[in-house]
Amino acid sequence: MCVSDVPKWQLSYFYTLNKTSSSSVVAVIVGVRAAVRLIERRITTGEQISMIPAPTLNRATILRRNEFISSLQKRVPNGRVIGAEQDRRVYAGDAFMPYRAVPLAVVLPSSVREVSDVLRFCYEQGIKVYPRGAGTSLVGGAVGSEDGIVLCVSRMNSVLEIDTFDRLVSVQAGVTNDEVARAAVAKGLCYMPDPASRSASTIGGNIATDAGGARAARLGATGRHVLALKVVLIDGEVIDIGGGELEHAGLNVQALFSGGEGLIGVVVEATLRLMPPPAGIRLMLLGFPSMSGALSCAGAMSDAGITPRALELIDRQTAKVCEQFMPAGLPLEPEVLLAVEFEGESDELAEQSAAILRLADGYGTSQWLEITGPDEIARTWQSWGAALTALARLGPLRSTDIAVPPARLPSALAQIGEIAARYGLRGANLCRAGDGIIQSVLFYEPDDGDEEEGRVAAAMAEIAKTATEVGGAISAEHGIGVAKREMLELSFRPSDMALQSRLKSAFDPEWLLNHGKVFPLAEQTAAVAQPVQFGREQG
Amino acid sequence: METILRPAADWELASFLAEATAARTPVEIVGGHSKARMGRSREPGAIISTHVMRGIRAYDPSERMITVQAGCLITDIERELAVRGQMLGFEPLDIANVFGGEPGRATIGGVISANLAGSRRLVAGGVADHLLGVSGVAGTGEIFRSGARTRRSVAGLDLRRAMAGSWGTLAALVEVTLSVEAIPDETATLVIFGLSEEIAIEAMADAARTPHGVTGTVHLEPAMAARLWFDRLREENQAITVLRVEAPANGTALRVERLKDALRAYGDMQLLDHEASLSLWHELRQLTILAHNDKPLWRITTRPSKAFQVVSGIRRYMAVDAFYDWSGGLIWLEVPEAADAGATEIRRVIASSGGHATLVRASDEVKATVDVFEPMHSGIELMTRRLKDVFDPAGILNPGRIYAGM
Repeated sequence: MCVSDVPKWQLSYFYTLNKTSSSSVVAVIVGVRAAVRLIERRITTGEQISMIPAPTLNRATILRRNEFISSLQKRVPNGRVIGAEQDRRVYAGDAFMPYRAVPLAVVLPSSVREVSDVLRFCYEQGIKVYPRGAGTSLVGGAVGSEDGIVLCVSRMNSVLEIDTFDRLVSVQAGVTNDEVARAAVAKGLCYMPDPASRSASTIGGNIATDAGGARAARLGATGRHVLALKVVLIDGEVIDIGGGELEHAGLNVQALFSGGEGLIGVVVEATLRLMPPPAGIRLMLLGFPSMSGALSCAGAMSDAGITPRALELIDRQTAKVCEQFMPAGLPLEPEVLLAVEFEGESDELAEQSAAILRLADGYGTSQWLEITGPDEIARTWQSWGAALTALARLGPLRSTDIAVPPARLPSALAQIGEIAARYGLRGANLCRAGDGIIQSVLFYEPDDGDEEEGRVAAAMAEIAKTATEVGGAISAEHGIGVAKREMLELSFRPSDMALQSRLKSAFDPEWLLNHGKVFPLAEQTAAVAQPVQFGREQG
Repeated sequence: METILRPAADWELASFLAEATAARTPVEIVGGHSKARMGRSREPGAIISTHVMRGIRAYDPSERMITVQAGCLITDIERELAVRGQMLGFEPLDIANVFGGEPGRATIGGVISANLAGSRRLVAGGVADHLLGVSGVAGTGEIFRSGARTRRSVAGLDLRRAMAGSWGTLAALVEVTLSVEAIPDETATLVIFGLSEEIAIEAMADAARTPHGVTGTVHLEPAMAARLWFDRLREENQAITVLRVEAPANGTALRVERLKDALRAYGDMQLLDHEASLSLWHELRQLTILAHNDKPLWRITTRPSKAFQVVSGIRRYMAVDAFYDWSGGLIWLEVPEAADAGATEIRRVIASSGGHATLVRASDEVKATVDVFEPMHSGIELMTRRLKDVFDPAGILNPGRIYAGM
């Protein structure tokens, strides 16, 4: 396995931070070439591309590939159906390294009508459909299968309407989070959800995982900021949910899409809420000699009447790697860095930072840095937020995110460290103290092949179990995808699984949309074996 | 005689609902009865009361979340939170006054099921956005849960959010975990008198766009304003536009000054201090100004830019009294008695301007003949029926509460 190139592949898909930077362009080219070599080798040798089992393929569909591509081209003309093998390979993976599959075809619609036509066709032919935005999923959420099409909304990337009176913006699903944020700022407003992948990830993808970011603890994740959706169901039906008002009565069918990982339908347009900007913000980076001091300080903030917009921790190794990857002046001496972003009127900010410092002193802060300019604050968060990409330069890694009740953060981190040590794996943790989110990274030696992958996967499963044992969640915001599919039983009892499965079947009886994702494979196989007619009564 | 079940635990609910599904017995879920007169008329059947499931199960202020049983009174929750300086960010409404009932009986299960968020919804999330986790029992008798005791979680389809606004037609809630926030240290209110509705809506939108801590924007036409218990404003006999500002300690003075400056085009403003503000916004939250009569009452949500168009459109057909909230995004509208409570004209105006209208208060005779909730377009109806059929295929839970035949 060509492993030294794997991190660059992750770079190429993960962030497009500085598009004019020649080093980034080189990284993209190197990454794409490396990935193509990797996949070519696997296909040639007949090796399964991943340790994670793929669903059973529909061979009949694969045999009819050329015929289907022709039919799709009639519906999506002008070269926007990708049929050539080397071009389809580019869409074989996302930011989750261990799982790839070259799809039957890649379709890039540019209108709602085209999405509807394609879905209807696939439904009639029993072809699986995998919606995709920018492919930044960390759990294989955007990966397809050899018997399915990847439906990529990246060409549907227009901002349709921005209304400062009603404080909303309507966009097509392929618009990136960053574009929405910039469009809002240009009108003196703010789009709050700020996932680390924002420069690349699309609104469609953000909705599918209820993407958050550093500010989500205070200001809400994507679901809270969605006012309306236009969706297309698997049979091609186009449905408008909501119209831009804050609320509408009736059953909350919009809920099925928020964090729904593309299981119920394809989001093609969204109306998003915009908020007034803060009067002023500051970012403090507090250095601590130990994780426990930093965590205790974070935990004491709300009692001390301090309510930051963001509250995150990284260790020194991670800070160093971030700083190398994207210099922003991060202090590199302390063992742990706690980032505290807060807002207020300009006259109040100095007093707030003094209060934070007084608190931090009580927990042994060794060094601090206060960043006041909005551009510098943005740059610091960009560097900090690129931690995963930066860590990937150290070697191949797997990452997972869990959420625990904030009071359990110290014990959860200790347990994760113990798990990593027991499996003989090096790791790093990024911690969103305000939310109780831990993003764990485990490095592995790929030369050991599948056995090493197996150990990492087992360690990841134990980490997820750690979360559920304290009433937490196996995924805070990356979603389940394929990476955590078989762990879903940690969160769901049989009755939970049955209800969710019936809900999926009610909208997608043949489980064509995002097949193989979220639900354990055995559950999917059983559900498909007992197809449900649309609207037929259960029980 | 009606069967009344007062379950103490999910398994009791589960076996009862499984039997009710098999026997096709209609079941109504009741908390404090404060919203009994909302929604369409129902056929009598068995009753599930959440009266016994009313405890607070877990609360750690440092985690900023609280876990309570579905029958827990809002007042009990808020009292417990207030001791630690915390609150429910979505400012739940107690709608009892609208029906001449006794306030203070609303339960968290009812508030979630009716999706009743107050003025702070302007900047905070809604009910669904504060639901971190739920456990409940579907109409089939299946016990389920969704979410976790964490501020963020993604796992499968979001059944938590689906519970908000479901009016007890999908499941009986058992236990919920809600996110909580700090009570702001200081509150102040700017009051502008005599603005026309159209200008008031602009003023509210302008205020809500500033970064000065505006967390509530309400406009009352003179007839509504005259009903306020809050003396200082009632006696002015004019339309009033009130803008709430919330701030950390010693922060309101600065914010109020900057807000006044930003809104100087709208004329003179009076300032209400902290205590006066709390009193005024508490009254608004209790909806006492809607309590004075039995006139039909509509609750309309729309884009603020359409609010004036909606109300003046309706006013062409009938005399109305309006209470605007959420900068015009929410309108409580009292209309004259009529055979259809004005439904024909109101629905026509809404269809052309956009928005949703719910008939909140009307006689049973009227409610039996009109659409109480906004009629669904075919796509929404399709999705709604599928969602309903999964949770409650026998249609036993609150049948007909929202829509006929569902």
